[in-house]
Amino acid sequence: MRPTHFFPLALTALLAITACGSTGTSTPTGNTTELTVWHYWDGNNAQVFERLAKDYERAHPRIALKIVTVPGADLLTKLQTAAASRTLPDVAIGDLVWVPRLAATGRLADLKPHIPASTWNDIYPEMLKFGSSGGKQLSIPVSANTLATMINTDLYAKAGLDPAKPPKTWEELSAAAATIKDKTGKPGFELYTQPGDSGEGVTWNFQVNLWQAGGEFLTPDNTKAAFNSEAGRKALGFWVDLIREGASPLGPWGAFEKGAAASAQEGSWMVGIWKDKPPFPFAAAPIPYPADGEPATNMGGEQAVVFSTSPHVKDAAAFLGWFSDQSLGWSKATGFLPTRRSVAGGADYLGSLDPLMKPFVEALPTARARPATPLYPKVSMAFAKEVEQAVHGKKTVDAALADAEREVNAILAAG
Amino acid sequence: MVLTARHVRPRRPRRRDVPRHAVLLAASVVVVAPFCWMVTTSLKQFPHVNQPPFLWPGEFEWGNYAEAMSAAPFARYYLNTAVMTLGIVAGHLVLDTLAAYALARLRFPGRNAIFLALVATMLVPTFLTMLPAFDLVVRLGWYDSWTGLIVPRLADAFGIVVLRAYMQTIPVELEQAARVDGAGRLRVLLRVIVPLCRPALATVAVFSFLFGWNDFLWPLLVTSDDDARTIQLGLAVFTGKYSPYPQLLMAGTVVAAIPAVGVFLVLQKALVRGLAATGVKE
Amino acid sequence: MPQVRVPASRGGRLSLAQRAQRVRRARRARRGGDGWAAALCLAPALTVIGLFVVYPIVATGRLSLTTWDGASPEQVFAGLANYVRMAGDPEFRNSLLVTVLYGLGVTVLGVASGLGLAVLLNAPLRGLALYRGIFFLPVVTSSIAVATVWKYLFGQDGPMGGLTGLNWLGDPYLALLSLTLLTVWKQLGLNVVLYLTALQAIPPQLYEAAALDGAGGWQRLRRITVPLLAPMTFFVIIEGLIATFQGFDLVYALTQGGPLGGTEVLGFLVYRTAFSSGEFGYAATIAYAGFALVFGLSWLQWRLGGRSQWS
Repeated sequence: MRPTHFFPLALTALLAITACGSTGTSTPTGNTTELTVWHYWDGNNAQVFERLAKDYERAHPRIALKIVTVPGADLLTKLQTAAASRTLPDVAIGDLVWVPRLAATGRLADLKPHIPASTWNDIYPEMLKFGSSGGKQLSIPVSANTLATMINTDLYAKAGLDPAKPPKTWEELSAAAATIKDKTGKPGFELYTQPGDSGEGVTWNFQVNLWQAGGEFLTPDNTKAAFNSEAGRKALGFWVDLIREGASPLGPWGAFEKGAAASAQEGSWMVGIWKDKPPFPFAAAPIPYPADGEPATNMGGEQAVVFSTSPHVKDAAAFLGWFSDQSLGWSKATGFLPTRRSVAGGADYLGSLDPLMKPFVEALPTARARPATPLYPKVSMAFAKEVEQAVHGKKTVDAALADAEREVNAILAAG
Repeated sequence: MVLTARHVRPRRPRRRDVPRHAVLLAASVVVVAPFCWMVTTSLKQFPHVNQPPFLWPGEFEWGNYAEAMSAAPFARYYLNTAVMTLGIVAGHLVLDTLAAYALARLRFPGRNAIFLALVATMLVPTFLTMLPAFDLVVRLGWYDSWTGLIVPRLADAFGIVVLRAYMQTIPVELEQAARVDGAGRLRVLLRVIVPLCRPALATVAVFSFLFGWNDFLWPLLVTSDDDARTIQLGLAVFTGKYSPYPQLLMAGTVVAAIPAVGVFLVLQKALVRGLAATGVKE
Repeated sequence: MPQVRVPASRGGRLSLAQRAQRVRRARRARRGGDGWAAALCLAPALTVIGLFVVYPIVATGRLSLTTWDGASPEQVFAGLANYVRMAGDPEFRNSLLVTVLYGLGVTVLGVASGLGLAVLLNAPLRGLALYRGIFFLPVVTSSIAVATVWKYLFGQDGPMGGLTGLNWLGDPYLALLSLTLLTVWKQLGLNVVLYLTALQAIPPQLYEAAALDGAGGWQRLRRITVPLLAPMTFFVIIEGLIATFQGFDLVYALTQGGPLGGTEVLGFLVYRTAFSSGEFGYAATIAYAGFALVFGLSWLQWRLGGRSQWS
C-alpha cells in the first residue's frame, strides 16, 4: 500500500466506526438475572470453573452467569478503578489478602445471612478471618493452597542425591544444597529475594521459616510487628547464609521453574499447572524446618466477595454457597486444596489424591494464614525491602529486622 | 572517518565501504539477535528450549503456534486491536491535521500559548491522567466498548506537532494562490495542504498505529469483556501463564508482534520521508 | 581554521505585493484574525485532549492533596501532607536518583548510538534500507514482548549471563544498566532515522565549502554537522526524557523495580504506590513531582538551544 491511499482509507474507517458505535453487550432478557463474576484463574482452572457455572445455570434457569477472566495481579488494579467509578461486577474472586482491603471500601455485602451456618462451620476458621468484620462475613473462601518444597528430580539425581529422601531439616537442606552446587554447578534451593511491586513473594515465603522457628509476624491484634525476635533472627540468618554459600541464587524469581535451581518453595497450584506438561521431572516434599523447631506452611487461596452495589446480592450469595458445596469436585479437578474440613479429611478426596499433592494437603493442619488487615500490603512491602537489604549483605540481620520493625510499627500506627 | 563523502566525492570505490559495513553489521547483529532468539525459541520442541542453537532454528515445531493461539481467542483480539488501532489512526489524521493547520497557518490570539500547552501535554505521564480519564469514560457509558478504547485517544499532541512543523515548510504562496482563486479555508486545506502533507501524514499514521497496536494500560482498564480485549492484553495473560514454557511464550509474542512489523515494513519509506521533512527547519 | 558560511536567512527583500499582504495580515491578526476558522479547526482535537488529558491532570492535582486509598467513597483532604512526606521519603529520593541516572544514560547513549549509526548510513550504500529496517524492528515491537525476551537473555542462566559471568538482574547497578541498554536498544531505530533525515537535510554546499577550506572529517562533524543537528538532538533528548520519566512497561516486565530498588524509576514507584500499597493520593503527588521535573528539564533544554525547533 502506498501512503497516498492511507488518508481516504482511514477517513472511511473513522466514519464506519462512529456509525457502528460500541460492541453489543448482552442484556438480560425477560426475568433472567445476569451475574457478572470476575476471577483470575486461567487454563484448566478457568475451564473447570466455567463448567461448574454452566451446571449452575442448568439447575437455576433464572440465573445467567457471565464469567470474566482478568489476568493475575491486574484484577486488583481493575477492581480498584472499578470501585472508584461504579463498574463493579456482582462477584469477584481474588487472593485472600485483598479481602480486608476491599472490605475497607465499605462496598462488600454481608454473606452470612444468605449461606447456611453448616457451610460456615465446615470452612477452615483460619481462612474465615479475612472476611470477618463485626459479626459480618464479607467473603467466602473458595479455594485453598499451601506451600511445600518442589524438587527437580533430574538435578537431584545428577548430584547423587535421592529425590525420594529430600532434606527434612534446615541443616540437611544446607548440606544438600552444597552437594548440588558442587556436583551440578547449580544452586540447590531458590529463595524469593526481590520484593517486586508488592513484596509479597518475599514476605509470605519468609513467614513459613519464621513460624517454623517459633516466631510470629504481627501481634495477635495486628497492631505491632512481632518478627524482631530470636526466631526472626534465626529465620533471616538461615536465608542470608543460604545466599552467602551460593546455595540460593540472588536474582529475579523463576530459576527453579526454568530448571536452573534444584528446588524451591512452591505453591500447590504449580502441581496443577505442570501436571500435563512438566518442564522437568519433579517431586514435592514437606518444607524442611529447624531441628529444634516445628513444621509450618503458609495457607493462601482465593475468596469470593459480593459487592453491595449489586442489585442481586442474594442470588450472588446463593451461587457462592453452592460453589462452596462443590469443594470436592472442584478440588479434585483443579488441584486447589479444599476449603471444607469435611472434604479435606474425607476418604473420597484423600483416596483419589495425586501423590504430588500429598505434601501440600498433609501440611494443612500445620498451616497458618497471613494477618488479616487492610494494611497488610504496605506491611508486606516494607518488610520485604528490609529482607532484601539483608540478603544483599547491605544490612546485618539484626539491623534489617530492627529497621523493618520500626517501619511496620509506623505503618500500623498510622492506620 | 569521512562523514559526508557523498557530497564531496560522489563516486568512490566499494572497497572503502567495508569498515562501514562492518560497524553496521555488528550493530545489526546486536539488534536482531534477541529477535532471532525469540523466533528460534518459538520453534523448539519443549525439552530443548534451554539448549543451543539459540539464534538459528534447528527445528521447526509449528505446533507451538497452534497451541499458543488456542490459549486465547486471538482472532477476536486481533479484530478488536485492528478496529481500535484504525480508529486511533483515522482520528489522529483528521483531528490532528485540522488542529495543525490552525496552528501553522491561521492567525488568532493565544496561538503560541495553545501550541506550547499542547507540547507540554506530551510530557504528561500516563499515571497522572489515568484514573480521572477512566472515571470519565465510565460516566459517559463507554466502558467495555470500542468507543471507550478509541474516542479518548482520537487526537494527540505528537501528531499535531509533526504536522504543524511540516505545514510550515509548505510555501504560503501556494495557499494564497488558491485563495485568490476564491477557494475557502476548508478547500485550501483539503486540496492544497493535505496532498502536500502526505509524507507527514504517513509518519503520523505509522506512529499512531504503533501506539495503538502496542498500547497496554488503557485497554486493560477500559475493557473487561473478552469480546473487547486487545492483543497486548492477550499477551499479558501469556507471560503470566507460560513463563516456564518459553517456546509458547515466544510463539505468542511473535504472533502479537507480526502486524506491527508488517505495517512498518510497508510504510517504511513514507515514514522516513515524513520524518525527513518534519525534523528539520528549512 | 576554516570558516563556514551559513546562507543568509531568506526574506531580506520583499516585493510590494508581499509587503501589502503582510500589512493586511497584521491588521487582521489585530482584529482577532482567523478566529472562527481556527476555533472550528481546533475544537475537535482540543475537546479530546482537554477532556482526557488536561482535565485529568487537574483532577489528579486535587487527588494529590488527599489521602485517598483508591477505593473509599470519600477522599479525605490532607493539604500538603503528601508533599511534605515526599520531601523526606528515602524511597522517593532513591527513585529520583535512579530515574535521573536512567534518563542520563538513555539520552547520552541514545544520542551517541543514533548519531553514530546515522552518520554511517548517510551516504550511498548497499543495503541501506535493510539496515534502517533492522534498526527499527525493536521500535515497532511492544515493550512487554521485548522485555520478556531480555529477561531471559539477561538472566543468570541466560546467554548474556553465561557469556559475561555477571548476575545482570541480581545487582542493582547492573540491573539499571540492563534496563538502560534495553531502552536504548528499543529506541535505537527511531533515533537513527531521525538523525538520518536531519543529516540528509544539511545542504551539501556547506560541506563542499568546508572541504575547499581544508576542513577534515572531524572538523566538518564538529563545525557543521553537530550544530545543524541541534534541533534534532533536542527532539531526541526530549523523547528520551519522556520515555525514561514515564517509563513503566519495560521496568514492569524486566525488573519490577529491583533489586534493592536499583531500577525503581518514578513511573514504577507511582504504580506501586497507587495499586499495590493503595495510596492513590500519595502516588498522585509523586506523579506530579515527576511531571514537574521532566517539564523543567525540557524547558531548560529548550532555553539552551533547541528553541528553533518549535518557533
